[in-house]
This record gives sequence, structure tokens and C-alpha cells, in this order.
Amino acid sequence: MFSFKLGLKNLTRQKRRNVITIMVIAFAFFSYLLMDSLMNGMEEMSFENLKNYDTGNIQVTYPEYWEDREELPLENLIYLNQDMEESIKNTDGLLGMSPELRFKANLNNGIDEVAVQGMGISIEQYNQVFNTQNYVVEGSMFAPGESKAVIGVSLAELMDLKVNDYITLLVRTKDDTFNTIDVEIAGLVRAPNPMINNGIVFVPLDVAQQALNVGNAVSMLALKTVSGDEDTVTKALTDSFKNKNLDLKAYSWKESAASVIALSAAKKGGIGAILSIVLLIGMLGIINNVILSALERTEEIGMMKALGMREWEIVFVFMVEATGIGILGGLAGCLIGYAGVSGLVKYGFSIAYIGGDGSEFGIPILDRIYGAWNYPAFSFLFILGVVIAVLSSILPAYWAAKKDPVKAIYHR
Amino acid sequence: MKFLWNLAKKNLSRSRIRTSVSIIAIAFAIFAVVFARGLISGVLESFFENHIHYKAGHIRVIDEEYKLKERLMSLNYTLDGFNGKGYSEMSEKIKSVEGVEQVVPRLKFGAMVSLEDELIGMMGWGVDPLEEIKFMEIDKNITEGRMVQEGNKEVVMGAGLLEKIGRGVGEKVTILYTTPFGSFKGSTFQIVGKYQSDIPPLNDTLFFLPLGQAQRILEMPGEVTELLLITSNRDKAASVLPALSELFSQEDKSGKYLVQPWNKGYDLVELFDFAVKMYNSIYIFIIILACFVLVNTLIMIVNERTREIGMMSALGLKSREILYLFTMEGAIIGILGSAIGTVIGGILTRFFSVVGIDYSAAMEGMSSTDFLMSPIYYTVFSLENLVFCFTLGVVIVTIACIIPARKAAKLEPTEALRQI
Repeated sequence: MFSFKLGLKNLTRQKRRNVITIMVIAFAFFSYLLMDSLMNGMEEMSFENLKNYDTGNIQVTYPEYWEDREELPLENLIYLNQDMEESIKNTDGLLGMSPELRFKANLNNGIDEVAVQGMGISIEQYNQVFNTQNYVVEGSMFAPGESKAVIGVSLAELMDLKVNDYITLLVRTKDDTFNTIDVEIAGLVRAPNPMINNGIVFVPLDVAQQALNVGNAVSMLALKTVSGDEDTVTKALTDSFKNKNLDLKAYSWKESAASVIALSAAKKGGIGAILSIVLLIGMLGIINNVILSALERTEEIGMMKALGMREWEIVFVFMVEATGIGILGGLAGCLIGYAGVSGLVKYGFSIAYIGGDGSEFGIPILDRIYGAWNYPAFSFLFILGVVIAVLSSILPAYWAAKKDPVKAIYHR
Repeated sequence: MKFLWNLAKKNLSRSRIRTSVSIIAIAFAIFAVVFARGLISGVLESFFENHIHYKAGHIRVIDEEYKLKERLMSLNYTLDGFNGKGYSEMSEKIKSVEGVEQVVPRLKFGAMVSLEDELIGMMGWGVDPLEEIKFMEIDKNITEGRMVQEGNKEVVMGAGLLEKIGRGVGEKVTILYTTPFGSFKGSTFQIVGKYQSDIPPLNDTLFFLPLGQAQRILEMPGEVTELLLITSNRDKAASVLPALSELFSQEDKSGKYLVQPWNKGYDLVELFDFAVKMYNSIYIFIIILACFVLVNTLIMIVNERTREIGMMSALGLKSREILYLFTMEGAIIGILGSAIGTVIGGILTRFFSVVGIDYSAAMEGMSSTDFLMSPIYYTVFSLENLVFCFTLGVVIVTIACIIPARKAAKLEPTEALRQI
């Protein structure tokens, strides 16, 4: 108890030095928290983009289609029947279901032609699952029963198209004959997901089905659930498909996000390396602090030993001091980190003025990156800081305590 | 001065352990900076090289409209030389501009191969084989067969593309395309080579054919989509621009051409410029962090020697000289630490400049042809980097030392002597 009190008292002896060391730790933590928040924010936004505009929370399709889904084939399509619809609709936790027919198409404006992804949707159901309708900047989404199209603003700009212009989609039907879809543009969207802006043409499902000659088939069903419920709903769906002897399978959005996850893991690795150096320097700061204190108090240590204090008690005194610095530094770092992260979450970090469009990096993000809260990081850092402080103080403290009391008193 | 220097050196050995902790802290920081800079310039170098080879050259001449429609690979906005006299006359004239070493013509167009029931989209580049060999040493990337020769009906295809269409070198392939007049046509070529690129999207879509053949099949004699100008060094590209714009204003009456240096008007290049600036501030931050450790030590040294300082100034040492003394002490730590950090960092960057760091697993998700980046990064080992980091370390450390040194210099001799 005495050593503990002594350690605490020592903490206030060299205020300036301790404050500087605390600042080193606090800064190290602050930069870590900020980076971490930004990385997580980016990841979360790419997930949101995927969920809200591309895949929905869960996609239901045949495994054979899933494997080739990027080729947009017209094989292994789903022919919806009562049985299927019921087994899906009766699942708990489902908020919406949107059938989609995805197909390859060439968009022609009379001069140029560009390859796009066609997307046959049933508008009312689509709006239940996706947020795209909130980002229509000109015109509107097509109404049910209307035979119109919606395209992204970037695509429109590229092809010199405006609302109410007519476009021609050149497609190949299921039987490999060529066919066209001629529709009027009802609206332009500028969604946070660059894919929608650059390369997707939305048309009514029945129009697409007719043009592609696929009857009432769809490629997949996109489902909306409450965020976080994906796994349980996926499981329930899989069970009910099995019971009814359907070959369908449910895929959570996480499977589509695999490449995004891999990418951010690689980035986190790089940033982690830089941050571990920063934390190491913080550790060196603590070691330095303990050594300096020990040097300064050599006589004191000798005196205390001469008076009968044991070596481990002296080590303990220094450890208490270092732990105090670790705790204060950690607290300060977490506090300014908290302030910084709040700022990031609230105001975000604009990437627009850099002139970049995230889509080329595999990050489906436009405009602004917002931070994300990662509370475990705070407590993790705090505990890490204290542990590092304690551990890195042991060696120099032991070095100080080991000195011969007589020599120490005479400072030799 | 010599005396102060010797004194500083002697003072540092008074407590070796204290000095070495500070040196280690500085060395760590400098090591991190050397390595990070090496890695980042490696990433940038690989990106810039690909960007210049596949897209921009050092300077690119295109039709102004073409820039907007590039993604379409439209053939309606081509270069047909000054006043329609053909690209070769134009490239001769450009070559006579001082500083332009090479002019590489390219005709990029979209094409397809029909495979049973599917059409496979491709990107065709009509190129001048000799110029391409000189420019990007394309022959080194051809793993099987040879490069196309002008005049022959032959193509070289990307390895991934060959696999996709199930053909091999020596076989024939029929390529479908649309001419600028809108007619849909097909031509048969002999595959004479396999091109292995480390950029997956190009590998899977790109094929080369002789420029003359491309112009013939597309019915656009004397036209190309772009001319890439090569200077001796990409940093010199900007110096050629004034002479070029003079040439263009003289020769070209339509004013439809755009002369674009490699680092202007490309989103990604500008983004990287920004990233480099951001990283530079991170480096300085790391070094400053390490300086705190040193400042702590110096503050203690000053406190410890208060009486010594009082004595020295009583004996006639000027306060400016005391400032020098302590700054020098810090600077020596800075020099030693930076030197150690630079050496270790140099060894590691050298090692990874040979071995490389593989990111292919992480890059699988990227498919856009805009992202011209190989998945294996090599750090760049350069003297410039080492010298820069060393200097940065010494300068920042020395500046940081002035704070405690000033404190020592300000002491009054009488006050200092009395302090216990």
C-alpha cells in the first residue's frame, strides 16, 4: 500500500515530463481511432451500398445461376409458382421481396453503343427492397404498368440522353435471337452506388420478360430484412426450401461483399503496420520516462533500499507511476479520439474535391466518406495502453532497483 | 565551435542508456518512414508506369470529344492528321518538335468473338509493332509466339482472352466489329502470340493487331484514335507542351485536338497526388511523436545540469553558445538515430524491392480497366528516398531540440548556480 501511494505521489513530481509522455500516448491513440473509424466507415458504406442498391439483404436463386451470376446468363432461371412464393413470404423477419431479371444488353442512342446491364424489375416490389427511388434527380421512376426506363446520370451523360428521350436496348433472347427493347426514359438516378449511375438500365419486368422470351422467369429474388437478421432468415429460408424439395438457395449479401472485405482487410494490414510503429514509439516514450525517473532518483532508491525496502517494492513503485501515465494517456487519447470520431461520423470527409470516383477502386462510394463508431476499439486501445505501460516499465524499473544501495547513494 | 561540439559529444556519453533510448525512438520513426515511402512510391511507380504505357503516354493527343466518349471506344472522334492529311504526316511533324523522342499511334476499338451461342467482348488495339516494342517493350510480355508484324493478317491476344475463347497460338480467329459507318463486319486473323499482362482486366480483353490491318478492316485509312508522345522522362513532359501547342495552333485550323500531359485530367492520378500529400503529413507526425521522447530526455538533461550551465555562463560562455551546445546534443542523437533508421529501412526496402509484396488476393474484386495496377508491389529502393528521410529526421529533431535548449540558454548564471 505504501509503494502504491509513493508511486502515485511520484507521478506528480515531474509534471512536464509526464504530460509530454501522456501526450505521446494520447496522440498515438487519437490517430489510431481516427483511421480506424474512417476505414470502418468506408467499409460500412460499401456494405450499405451493396445492400440498398444492388443485392438487397438476401438473394434467392439457384446455385447454378449464382455461380455464373456475373455473366448474366438466361439459364437456370426461376419460374415463380405458388409454392415458392409462399415458402418465401411466410418466413419471419421478411420486409420485402423483389423479383429481378438481369440481362446483358447494348444501349444504343443512334450513334454509339455501350454494353450495360439490363434490370427487369417490378417497380412496387423493387421500391420495398431498395432505396433507388430516393435518388431520382430528374423525372421519376416509372409507374406500374408503364413501359419506360430509368438510367443513371453518368450513363445518360455519356450517351447524351435526357428524360423523355427514347433508347434502344439490343438484347439476345433465351433462344439466341436478337431482339430490341424500345423505351422512353422516365427518370435519371444518381444513387450513392456508382454501378447504378454508370451501367444499369432499369426496365419493367414484364417488358424484359417478353423481349427476352423467358415467360415469367426471373433470375433472382432480392429480399429485405432487418439489418443483422440476415443469417437467421437465410437459415429459415434454406430449411423451408429443403422441406418443399426446392433447389433454391438463399445467399446473404455478405457473400457478394467478399471482394470488398478482402480489399479492406489488405488496407487495414497496411495501416495497422504504420499504427503499430506509432504505438511502439508510445511504448518507447514510457520506457524513456521510467528510465529518466530512475536516473533522477538514484539516490532516493539507494536510500529506500538501505532503509529496508525490497527490490520488487521499488519495481512496483515505478510500475504504479507508469500505469498512471498509461491510464491518463489512454483516457486523454480516447477523449480526443471520441471528439474526432464524432466529427467524422457527423460531417464526414469529402472525397469529391479530390476529383475521384471511388468506383474504380472497387469501393462503391461517391462524394463523402463518413466515419463509423467502433466502441470495442476504444476499450481495446485503453486496455492495450495500460498493459503496454505496465509491461514496458518492468525492465527499466528492475534496472533501477537492482543498483547497489551504497553506490546509488553516492551516485556512482 | 569545435569546443562546443566536443563538449556535446562528451555529454552524451554521460548516461548511455538515456541516450540510446532516444536514439532507438528516432531510429524507429525514421525506419518506418523510409519503408512506408519506399512502399508507396513502389505502388505509385507501378501505377504510373502502367498508366503511361496503356493509357496516357507522356503526352497524349486526342480529339477533344473523344475524352468524354472514351469508355464507348467510339470511332467517331478520331485523329486524321492536320486538316485531314492523315496521322503519319502529323506524327512526323510532332516528332520534329524538340524533346519528343517517339510518337506511338494507336487505334482502339471494340470487337467481339462469337463462341457457339455467346458473343465475347474484346478490346482491339491497332498498333505499330516496332513503336510498341520500343515504347513498352511489349515483346517481353509475349510469353508464347511473337509480336505481330506490319502488313500481315495476324493478332496477339491476352492470355486470359485466349483461354476464354478456347484458342491457342497458331490457330485462327474471326473477329467481329462495327465500322464507324455502322456496318457490322467480320475478319479472320491468325493468332501469332500470347500476351501475358500482370493487369487482369487487360489480360482478359485485349488483343493487338497491326495498325494497317486495323485501319483496313475498319475502313478508316490514315486515322487513329490517339497519338502517344514519349519524351526522355515523364517529368520533362510539361516542358515540351509550349512548343507543341505552337505547332498545333499553326498547323491545325479546326482546333479539335486536345494535347493532354500524363498527369492532367485523369481522376486517379490526381487522387494519388492527394494521397501522397496526406502520407507526407503522416510521416512528419510519426517523427514528431518520436521527438517527444527526445525532448523529454533533453529537458531532464537541462535540469540536471543547471548548475553546470550557471558555472559555464559565469565563466564567459554566451547564452547563444549554450543554445548551440544543447541543440547540438539533440542533433547528434538525431543524426545517429536517423542514420540507424535509414540503414535498417534501406536494407528492408532493398529486400522487398526484389521479393515484392503480393496483394493479388485482395485485388480480385477489381475489374475495371481504369485501374491499371499490378497486384504485386515492389518497394522502391532509391538513394533519394534514403537521403530525404535522413534529412527530414535530422531537421525535425534539431528543430525540436531548440525548445529545451532555449530554456537552458535563458538561465541567469547567478540563479542557476544557486540551484540545488
